[in-house]
Formats: sequence, C-alpha cells, structure tokens
Amino acid sequence: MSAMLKGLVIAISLLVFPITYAAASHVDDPVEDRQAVMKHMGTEMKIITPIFAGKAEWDEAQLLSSIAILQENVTPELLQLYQSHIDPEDGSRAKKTIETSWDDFETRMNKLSLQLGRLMGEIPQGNATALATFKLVAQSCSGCHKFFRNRINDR
Amino acid sequence: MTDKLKQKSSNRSFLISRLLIGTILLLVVIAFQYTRIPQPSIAAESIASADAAAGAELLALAGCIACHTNLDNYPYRLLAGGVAIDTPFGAFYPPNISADPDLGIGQWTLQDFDRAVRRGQNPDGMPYYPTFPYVAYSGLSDQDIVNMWAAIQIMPRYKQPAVAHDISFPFSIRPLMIGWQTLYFSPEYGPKVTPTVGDDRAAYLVNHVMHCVECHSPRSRLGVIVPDRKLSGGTLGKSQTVAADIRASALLADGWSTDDLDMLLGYGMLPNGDFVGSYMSEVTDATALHLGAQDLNAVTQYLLKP
Repeated sequence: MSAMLKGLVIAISLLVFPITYAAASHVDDPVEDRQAVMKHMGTEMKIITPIFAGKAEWDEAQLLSSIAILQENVTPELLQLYQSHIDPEDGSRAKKTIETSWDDFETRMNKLSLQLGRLMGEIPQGNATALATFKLVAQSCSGCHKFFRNRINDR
Repeated sequence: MTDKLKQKSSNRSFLISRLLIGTILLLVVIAFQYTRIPQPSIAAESIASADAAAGAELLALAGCIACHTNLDNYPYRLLAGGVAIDTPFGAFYPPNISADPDLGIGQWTLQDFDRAVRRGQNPDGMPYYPTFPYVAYSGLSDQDIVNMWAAIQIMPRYKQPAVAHDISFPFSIRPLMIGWQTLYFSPEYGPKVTPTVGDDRAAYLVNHVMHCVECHSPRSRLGVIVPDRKLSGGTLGKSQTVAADIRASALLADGWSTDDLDMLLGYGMLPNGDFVGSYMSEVTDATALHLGAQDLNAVTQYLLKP
C-alpha cells in the first residue's frame, strides 16, 4: 500500500473512531438518558399542573396529549436505566437507595404508571373528577424524589 | 492537724461550698424558669366553642401529623410517633401524642397541652428541645389550641411507645434547656382569636401555624434563629440540606410569581416542572395541601410582598 493511501486510512480511522465512540457512549449512557426522560416529564407537568390548579383554561386535548407522553416515559425501559446504574460519582442525583430498595422503587414507578392510566380515563369527566388523581400523581413525583434523589436546594 | 490534713479539709470544704452554691443557683434558675413563662388561662368562651374538625385541619397544617406520624408506613397511625428528625445535635424522635392514656398524652389536661405547645414545657415543667417548634407555636391563638386539643380527643389512640432521642452529649442533658429557654425563648403569647383575613392571617400562617421560619431561617451554633434574618434561608439536618431564602427580595429576584408559589405549595411543583423531594415534600404532601384557596392566596401574596 502506498504511503499516501496508508496515511489516508489512518486519517479516516482517526476521524471515525472518536465519532463512533461518542455516538456509542451517548446511546449507552443511562444517566444521560434518564435525566433526559425526567426533564421531558417535567416539561409536560409544567404544562398540565396549572390547568389542574385552575390557573390555565381546561384543555382536554392538551391534557390527554401530555399524559400520553408521561405514560410513554414511565415504562420498564425507564426502570432499566436505573437498575445497576447508580454511581455516586456519575454526576446525577440518583441515590444508592434505588438499588438497596429496588422493590420500593419499582413499586412506586408502577404505581405512577397506574395513576397516569387512571388520570387519562378521568380527564374527559372534567377537573372535579380528575383533580384528586392528579394530586396523587404529583405526590408520586415528590415521594420518589424524597426517597431516591439526593437533596440539594430544591426549596 | 498536719498541714496535709488541713489542706485536704480545706479542699473538701471548698468543693462542698461550691456544690452547694451551684445547686442553689440551679434551683433558683429552675424556679425562675418555671414561673418566668406565665401561662394565662384560656378563655372559657374559646373552650366552649371548640371545633374538632377545624382542629384536625390545623393538626395537619401545623405539621403535627407530618412529624408525629410515621408516614413511611401505611396504614398511618396518626400522631402515634414519628421518624427521626435529623439535626446537628443528634436525632430527635417525635413522641406519641395520640390520646392514649398510657403511652400518649391521654392523661394530660388542656392546660398541659397549651403549656407544651406554646410554652415549650412538659406537664412537670421540664423544657422541650426546640426541635419541637414551640418557639413558633407560642404565637398560636387560644382558639387554635383548643381546637387542636378537641381533635386529638376524638382521633384514634395508639399504644405506641416513644423512641428515645439520640442526642450528643452535652445536649442530651435536658435540664440544660432551662438555660437555653431562659436566654433565648420569649413566648409571643398568641392572640385569643385566630386572625382570619389579609396580611394578619398570612403572617399568622407563615410565622406560627406552618412555621416556615423554623426551617427557612439561619441558626446559631446553639440552634437559635438569628432574629434579624428570619426566612433568609437555613440548613437542615446533618446533611446540611439548604432551605431556600424565601424573603420577598430573594423570591422576586429569582423570578417567582404568586402562581409559582401556588404550584409549589399546592402541588409540590417548582417553576421548571420539577417536583420537590427532601424536606419540602413533607410540607407540600402533608401540610400545605390543607391550605384552603383563600389562605393559599394570602400566603403567596404575603411572601412576595417587599
């Protein structure tokens, strides 16, 4: 192989390797993935909470859409992102208690999924019916954060 | 008598005299403390109009249920005793305050209850540790005390023994709290009638009933709230979790609106859509949700008033 060709092969390898590595790391980074999920869920909760609180107009279509997104995220796949991926040095706020109290963590996640399903069914009946279930959803969020997320200045 | 014996005898006399003086001083302080905080009697008309339902709401709003109940175990045994409150001085375990006559406060009188909640003393006159927020509760009204007492009488009674506090020496010496109360506790003597509207109502809720000031204020090394920095932020527990600065200046600088505060207190949601965990979730889940719409509005307006 000529020297120029060798040089070309090496240059391409040097380019491709870091790109591939970065892409692979991104796809396989459970911490980043679950943080993205949580942020996504927070975005939807930010939309629907004022509606339930009566601060924004009742918008059934928006509520159904947002809750559907929440349901799509609260899945066994999300659970897997936490299982055996808790490291105090990984820069996330996930506590080690997720692993030591896995059954509790899993139960809470499943309960949230059920609550979202119930909420979905109650939306068409209006706020008076759905509000109680929404409050349970909100408490599920804060309850999980209380036991399984490290504390910082969250007021 | 030899010189050595004379010396020994002199040392012993010195010690005895000092012990005697110390004991007398301690008795004087105890007597002073016991009588320093007078306990005005609650008006008969307040007692006659006791409202147990209102009292039950207050037990929730004031955090009595949140602290004195193990909310990690369902079904809840309300007021039967809570989980550890972690502080720099050690762990405090809120005792059983259900009306059980043996292991709760079933043998107390209304005056005993009032003395505990607003004067920080048990029925024997011994002081409570200020982890029990009697400093804030001293501003509760007569009517609210009566209503809470009425509620406790009709709530279920539990035979659940209290867990001993796990406090580091020398703070574990409870009589030392007599000195602490003498120096740092001046009860506010709450009103006879509960404020019901406007800033008076909001201030009453923030400073006394919900005692936001107890968590959200800095404290000295002896656990005393720094008087001119109330609500400017504090740290909680051994982990020194930050309780934010919630003075109007700080909230407004951070862009908080009354709607944001409504969402936080009503649902536990922060302005970015995240939901509180840690200590504040105990407030939003167990206490603030008992705020009626009018009270919630008063509190959020009050907190954002410069």
